[in-house]
Amino acid sequence: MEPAPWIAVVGPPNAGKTALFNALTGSRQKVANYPGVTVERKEGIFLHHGRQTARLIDLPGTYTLRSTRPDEVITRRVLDGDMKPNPAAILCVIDAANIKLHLRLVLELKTLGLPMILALNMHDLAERRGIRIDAARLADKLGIPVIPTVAVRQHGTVAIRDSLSALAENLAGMAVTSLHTELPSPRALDKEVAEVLQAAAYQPGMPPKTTYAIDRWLLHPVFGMVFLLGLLFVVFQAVFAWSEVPMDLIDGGFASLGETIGATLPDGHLKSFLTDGIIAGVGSVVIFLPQILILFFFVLLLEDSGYMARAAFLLDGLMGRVGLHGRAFIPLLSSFACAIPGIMATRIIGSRSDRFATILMAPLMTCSARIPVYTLLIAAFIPDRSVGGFFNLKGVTLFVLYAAGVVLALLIGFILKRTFLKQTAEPFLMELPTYKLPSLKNLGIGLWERMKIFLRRAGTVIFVIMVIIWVLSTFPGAPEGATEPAVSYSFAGMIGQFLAPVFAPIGLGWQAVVALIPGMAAREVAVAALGTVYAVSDASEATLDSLAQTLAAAWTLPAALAFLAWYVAAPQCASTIAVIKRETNSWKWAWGVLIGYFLLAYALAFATYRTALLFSPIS
Amino acid sequence: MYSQNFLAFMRDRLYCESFAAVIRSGQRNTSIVMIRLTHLAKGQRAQVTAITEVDSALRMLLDDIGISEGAVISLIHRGVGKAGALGVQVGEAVFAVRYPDAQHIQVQPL
Repeated sequence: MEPAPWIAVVGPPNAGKTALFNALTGSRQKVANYPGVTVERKEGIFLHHGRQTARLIDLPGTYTLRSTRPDEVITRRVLDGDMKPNPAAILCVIDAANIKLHLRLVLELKTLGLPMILALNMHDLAERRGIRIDAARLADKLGIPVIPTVAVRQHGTVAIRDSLSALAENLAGMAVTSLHTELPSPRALDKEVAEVLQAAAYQPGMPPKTTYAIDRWLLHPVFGMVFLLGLLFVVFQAVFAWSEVPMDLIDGGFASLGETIGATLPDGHLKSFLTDGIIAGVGSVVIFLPQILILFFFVLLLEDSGYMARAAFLLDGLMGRVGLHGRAFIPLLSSFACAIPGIMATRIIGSRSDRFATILMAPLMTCSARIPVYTLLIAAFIPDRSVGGFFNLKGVTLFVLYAAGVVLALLIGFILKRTFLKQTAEPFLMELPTYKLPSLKNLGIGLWERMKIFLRRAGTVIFVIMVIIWVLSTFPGAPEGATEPAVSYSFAGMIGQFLAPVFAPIGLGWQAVVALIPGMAAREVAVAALGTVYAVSDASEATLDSLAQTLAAAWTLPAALAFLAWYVAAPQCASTIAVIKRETNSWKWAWGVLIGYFLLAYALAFATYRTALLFSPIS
Repeated sequence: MYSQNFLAFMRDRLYCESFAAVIRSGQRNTSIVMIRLTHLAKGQRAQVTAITEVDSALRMLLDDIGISEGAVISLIHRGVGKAGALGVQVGEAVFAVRYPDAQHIQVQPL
């Protein structure tokens, strides 16, 4: 039996293409990347009366096939058969209220010679604005089926299903390929669009009054910014605070699982591997899931409603000073909770250079995993003293650490956009779509896809790294009659002691260096590792105070400040490095971050340590 | 760099001054007035007269959304700050155009 033909879903951005794709394929979707690039490839199975009729591929939105933007080039390459899959037909989705602009793409697509169906989406909104289009006459003029739809409400989808099914049956056994024709010039297209619109008895309507009225406030330089900051505050709070309960539940679940399995196995390497390696490793990945889902809930909500483009519009001037555009703000903000969802959220940025710069800036934003380390060292070394009568020195220190991360990130972005990522800089134009009520189904499908991507992609690489870190921290094990903690005799301990001379100039002893190695699994693990190294048996809340006291006695203030400065920039998170590799599709960038940020952290810690020594009575 | 900025600044001044002079003199024929899109007042309509000194990528992008010589556009939003993005209505759609890109678009107010 022949496989079902591929049908490409093509359309300009904000025309409702993905909503129609979701309506036709439901949850039978698969998201991957196109080979060699980081552009998402979304495909789904189209069933008609329970039978697989066609395979749909949702191509990146574009206004024209002439585009040179990396993601939009893919649309042309797939349609031309230069990149798999080779579609045998096209389902073109355009916004009925924007028909004058979107018809250009339809006419370009027609020149490819592939069979095509045109979905005139959001026709209800067009009608409400008084825009008149005779779909039948439009179909006659274009020579293709034209079906008015409202994808988010499933209006017209039955007709689309019937047409797609009939088209797929006609295509069975046929080898249809693109004609590779040269595209008409924009002037010629404009002329043809005018002719088609005339034939379709097109009448322009009123401007979208509701959108204009809302925008008068939401795009106001003052009120708009206040609203945006309030909204970002809610998103930040949600990612940070709402995720606490599910994260605790996941943490508790994995801990119970580890205890249950641990209780049934005798002590030894197998038990340690299963509980400390596999279960703890998988748990350390899955624990981020609530933050990722909450963040993407807001990202999808803002995208679907049309507000995301407004946020980018408002912040463009600010981000433009660094060389990025407004959309980069959202991933950077979410990186305060965790760099992993932040890096994944960079998918909302179209430009490769902007996206990569944002990915590389994200690990410098102060994530929640740094907080336990900051809290521990601030509690141990910073006196509880008032500053200027208003502020507490501990709070000021925490603020300085956060601010240092932001400043470093902006500096890195500024440098990257003028060096490594300069050549690929491209102009940026973005449509401000009309406001729409988001569809719950689309939100659900979007979240489901994000969850699958995170667990599948990040999970595999991160899991392997966790196992490696477990091996390093466990073997060869403590000898008989050992007096030091077991980790001191492990490969991690050996590496720590070997590296100790390297870290001596920044004031860190071998114990601190040993803690940094398991701390690569996740930043906060360093706290537990310090507890182990200093023989504080369990770094729980109750013992954190005693660990702080131990550190206060064992370390100098300059060394503690250097450790904090190290943590501002150091890429102490294997998961983040793994996600950078996945999202950039390149080990080069991942290694670049790892090496570059370690050097940066070292320089920062060195400068902090030496400066602190100058002012410290203890040297 | 400074000399380029200075030249751009002087050119802007000339456009603005010529536009202001036409308004002051009460001339009805404004066909000679050309200003940069960045200098168009919010809510004002204008016809694109030229797109200058741009690379082919930007020209193509502008073409794709219908901003080309002869097109009628309206400036409906201004972003935050002096160099904030501009909201430009082209036909039935509204596009955010970055300030540096908008500086390349010369328009004649209508």
